[in-house]
Amino acid sequence: MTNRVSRTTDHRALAALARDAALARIGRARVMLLIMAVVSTALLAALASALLPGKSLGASRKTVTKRATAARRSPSTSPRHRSSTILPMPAPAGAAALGLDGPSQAPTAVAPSPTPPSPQPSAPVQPAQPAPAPAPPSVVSGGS
Amino acid sequence: MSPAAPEQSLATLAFEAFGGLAVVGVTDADSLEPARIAVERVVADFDIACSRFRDDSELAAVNRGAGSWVSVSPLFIEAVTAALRAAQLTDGDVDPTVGQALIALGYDRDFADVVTRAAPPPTIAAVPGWRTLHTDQVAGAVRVSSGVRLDLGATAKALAADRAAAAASAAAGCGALVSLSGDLAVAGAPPTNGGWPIRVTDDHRAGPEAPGQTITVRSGGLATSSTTVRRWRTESGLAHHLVDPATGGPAGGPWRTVSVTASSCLDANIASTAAIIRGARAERWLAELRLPSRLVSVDGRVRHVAGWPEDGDDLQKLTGASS
Repeated sequence: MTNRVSRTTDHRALAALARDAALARIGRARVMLLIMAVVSTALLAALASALLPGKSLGASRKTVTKRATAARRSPSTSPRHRSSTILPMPAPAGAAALGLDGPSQAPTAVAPSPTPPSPQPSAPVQPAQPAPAPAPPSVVSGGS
Repeated sequence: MSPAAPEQSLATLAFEAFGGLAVVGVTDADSLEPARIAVERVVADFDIACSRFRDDSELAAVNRGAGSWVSVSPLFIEAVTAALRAAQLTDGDVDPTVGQALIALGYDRDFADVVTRAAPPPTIAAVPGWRTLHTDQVAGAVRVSSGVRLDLGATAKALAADRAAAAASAAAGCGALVSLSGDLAVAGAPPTNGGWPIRVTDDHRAGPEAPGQTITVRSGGLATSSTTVRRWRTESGLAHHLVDPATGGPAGGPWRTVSVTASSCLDANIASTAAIIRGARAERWLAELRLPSRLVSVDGRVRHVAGWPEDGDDLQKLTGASS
């Protein structure tokens, strides 16, 4: 009776040891898989950047933007690839294309229009007016 | 009356275009008719290319063909290129892919019909962003991603004003001004008595007596963007046409109206539209760009920036922070 109990306990201990060993092996395998995945991703990325400089899956098939992007990136490629991927530089951008451009002359204020002439007769007054005032505005700039 | 400069016979005329008022002005009244003809031709060209409400427009064809390349005219390519430049220069605050967001808000037909129908339930649609829009300038083709709907309203009208002013000046052989719904460009020699007098206010259809400021412009363009016009009722309140691409909804912020002068009407429009979207950041941005600007706060006070004249403004000046 005592022997039977002892044998059962031994079996349980052995089973636990076997389970722990198996779990440890699984854990090591997961770590190895992770390391391999990281390494293989890095290798693939390096290979792709070496073979297809300036390319991406998202790039459209033949847009000007794509060509300009490739031209911008070409100086940073290695000397080996620079010789095989020489692209024409885009045309220099005009000043207006680089940013919003202010007016050559800032607007000026127009003095409020004079009050209507009084109906009462009075002594004629010649206002000092060195230059003719602009015509009353017939153009309105506002929201639409 | 002894003018210091030779007498000029300024003349203007107005007609309806792009859902707003178009004004043509010339410094020689005898040349008004050729100028008008030139402007109407430019307006017609842009309308057939860029209208969102014409089934036969190129814009409608591009929207229908979303997901594939669509052959378009050089003018449409030019309009799209201008819109893309606007998006780049404003970090996407002025975005040509807001078409679906406007439709979701209820602006899905000619504006005259939008304001007369029953208030629709507003919905918010995400703005896909200008990087979903591609051009092939060599092949003359445009492609938008599936589900994207273009709206070139913010920039096409201003570009049309620039082109129309140049065409009018060339046709008339004198200085010319063209205003399309309040966004205006001038070309040729300005009037000798100080420039083109312009009333700047909230609504381009308001008369010269509307609260605002009168200035003179001698070159380039002037554009005004405002949340006080082109508004419509929805079940949850008023909406307007200036969509914030970040939210897909009507732009909020401290400014109700922003006017900007620049080297062209297009640049002025880009800046004024972006300023409404940018809100509190707009004043500093415009100052850094040295674009003379007039910003009107929601409560009706005004701020002049970067050389915009201070004098003669009907509105009370805004002091302190804008927000």
